[in-house]
Amino acid sequence: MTTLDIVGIEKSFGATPVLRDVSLALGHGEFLAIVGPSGCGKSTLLRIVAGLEAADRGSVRLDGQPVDALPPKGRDVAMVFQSYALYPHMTVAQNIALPLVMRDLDRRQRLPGWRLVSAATRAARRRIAGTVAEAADMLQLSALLDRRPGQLSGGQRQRVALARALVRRPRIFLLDEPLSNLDATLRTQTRNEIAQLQRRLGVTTVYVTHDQVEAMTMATRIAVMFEGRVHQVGTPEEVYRSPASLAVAEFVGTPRITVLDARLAPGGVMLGGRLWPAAFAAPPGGGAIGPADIRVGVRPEGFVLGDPAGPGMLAARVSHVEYLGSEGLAHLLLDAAPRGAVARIDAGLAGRLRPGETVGVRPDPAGLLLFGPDGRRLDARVGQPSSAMAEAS
Amino acid sequence: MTGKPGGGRGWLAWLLIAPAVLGLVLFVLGPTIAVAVMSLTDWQLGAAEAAFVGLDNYAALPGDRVFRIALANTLVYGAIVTPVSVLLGLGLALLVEGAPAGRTFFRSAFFLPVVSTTVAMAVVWEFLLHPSMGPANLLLGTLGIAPQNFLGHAGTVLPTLAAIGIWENAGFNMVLFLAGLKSIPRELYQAAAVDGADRPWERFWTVTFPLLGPTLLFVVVIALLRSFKVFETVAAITQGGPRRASEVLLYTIYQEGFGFFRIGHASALTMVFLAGLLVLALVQIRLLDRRVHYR
Ligand SMILES: Nc1ncnc2c1ncn2[C@@H]1O[C@H](COP(=O)(O)OP(=O)(O)OP(=O)(O)O)[C@@H](O)[C@H]1O
Ligand SMILES: [Mg+2]
Repeated sequence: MTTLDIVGIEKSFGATPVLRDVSLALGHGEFLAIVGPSGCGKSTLLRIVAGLEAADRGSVRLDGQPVDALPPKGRDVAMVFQSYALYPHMTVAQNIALPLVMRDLDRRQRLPGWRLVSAATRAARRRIAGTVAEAADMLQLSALLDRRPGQLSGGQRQRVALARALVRRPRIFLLDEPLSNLDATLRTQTRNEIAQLQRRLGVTTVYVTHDQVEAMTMATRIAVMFEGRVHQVGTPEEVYRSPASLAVAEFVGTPRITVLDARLAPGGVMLGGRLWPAAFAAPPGGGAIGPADIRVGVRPEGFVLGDPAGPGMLAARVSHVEYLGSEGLAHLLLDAAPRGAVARIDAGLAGRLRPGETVGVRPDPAGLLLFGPDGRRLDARVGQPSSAMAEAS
Repeated sequence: MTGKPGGGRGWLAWLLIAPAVLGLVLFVLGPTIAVAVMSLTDWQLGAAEAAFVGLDNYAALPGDRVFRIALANTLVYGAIVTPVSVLLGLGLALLVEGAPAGRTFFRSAFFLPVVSTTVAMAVVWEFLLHPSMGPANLLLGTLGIAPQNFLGHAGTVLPTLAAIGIWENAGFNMVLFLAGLKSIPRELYQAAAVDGADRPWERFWTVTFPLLGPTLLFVVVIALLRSFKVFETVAAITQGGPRRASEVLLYTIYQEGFGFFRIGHASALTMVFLAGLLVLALVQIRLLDRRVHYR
């Protein structure tokens, strides 16, 4: 049981800043997922926590103690590398045992024939073999212990890498996209195994992935990173329902959130030619924004489809329909959404809608997410739009 | 649909490999067969005719004093040059790879002996080791040690030639090891560091050495082959002397064939030499296939 604090980490490679003022705090046994697009600095952050890379500024603390001066070994962290990094010349058993051999045996005891001479070494080796067998059993590797990594499938290698991390019962698990090379079935299965294992062992875990479904299903909290910055940290639900920025809103959630163009107007937001009354928690931009262009995000389930002539409806053209069995997705073209809109619809409607057809679509005001010109979220409560068509000006 | 692979296009395949086959026949197979045939005769270079003598040339070899000396010297030379130049090459490669700066400089500096002309370098060595005016002996003199005739003394000539051979080959081995080191994934060292193997020695035994296995075996065999082929330094500096103390196989073959014109005898020697190299090459292929490929 360990707490991990990442405080104000900055890192540049040459002139390129890779991490900018990254701070995260993990409680005892917490499972934090870090998500973000490729190249945003996730692996770099993990390697700094492991001690494989030095930060330019900032500090990593375990149980409140700074560990910045300690090498990886002194931090007692275990890491699963994106590429597994198994030792190709060792059997599965030897791979899993290595962290224990390095920790529990001294230099002399590690010599190949030493166990013949020393009873203590024999006992220690037996203990290690027992621990390895346990870990292998947990990850269903018992039948493969004598194989070399080259004779294993991708999923099996994955589990060996995990087992090598697990045997030591480290203070922190660092998992860098450990499922990226698995097929969909194996990925779902291993995802559940890891999550269960982590809960059972209670080891504080940082899990890096660029797959947001993985993050949402496994983690207690998610940190979303863009270009070296943490935009938001929160539970999966927080990150989904109240994203801190447009980037977070667009990254989290499949299908993607629909982004509509809108403008600030006295008393609310002009969207699709109507005024939507909005009460801002703080005057947007301290009043500096004025009638600026803002953007409105709507999740797929935040749309209601109906008759184009119905009250409050925006006219949209159906581009195509995805029929998913229990429900469907309507891809719509409308003036306010330059990149198109996606609405979740019931299966019956999905069977009836035809591409090219004109329908009415109305965003549910409760689900509207407003973002300022800088992409930050504007905290606002939006009400039903005026029923009368206001003249756009 | 299609016939068996290449079935109808056999002639095209032959056409495509023709240049390679031609080269092989002209420059390798042909001469080898010619030498094998000549080794069964008593032909003298320049003689109009030759008689078939069967295996007489081979039968005479075990009793041939010069052959026995040359074989022993060649083996001793190889037994010194191979391990030392391989270990030195490995050490240099590790140092150069870990050097904070100047990697290219060191790489070139140590590789220089490989690309320089051995005969020219032999002259330089002869001067360096000259009994009276060579810098090596001047250095010994400052230490109060009497001058040594390294290349002129039967007891020191072979080790001295071996030292020159080491100087010549270590850089070559280093470059092979450098290539091997490059192919070790960096993440393995990082995994080792996380797993607790982070001291230089632990890194070496956990990752570097095992992953260098295939390279090491390859380098050892190549170094053996190269050391058995020692010729230039002997021909340029010692001509096998003094008192045959530096007589080596290739030099004996050269002397027998082109010094004494005993082509039959020289051919038999060549065949024995070739057989030795072939066995080495086969051993290498077998070993490479088996142990060191982690599959
Ligand atoms: N050793 C290095 N030298 C220079 N630049 C580097 C180095 N390592 C990483 N970078 C750069 O730092 C940035 C972040 O890299 P990082 O590997 O942390 O990304 P990531 O978020 O893990 O991406 P991915 O999801 O593709 O694994 C990238 O732009 C990368 O090019
Ligand atoms: Mg990465």
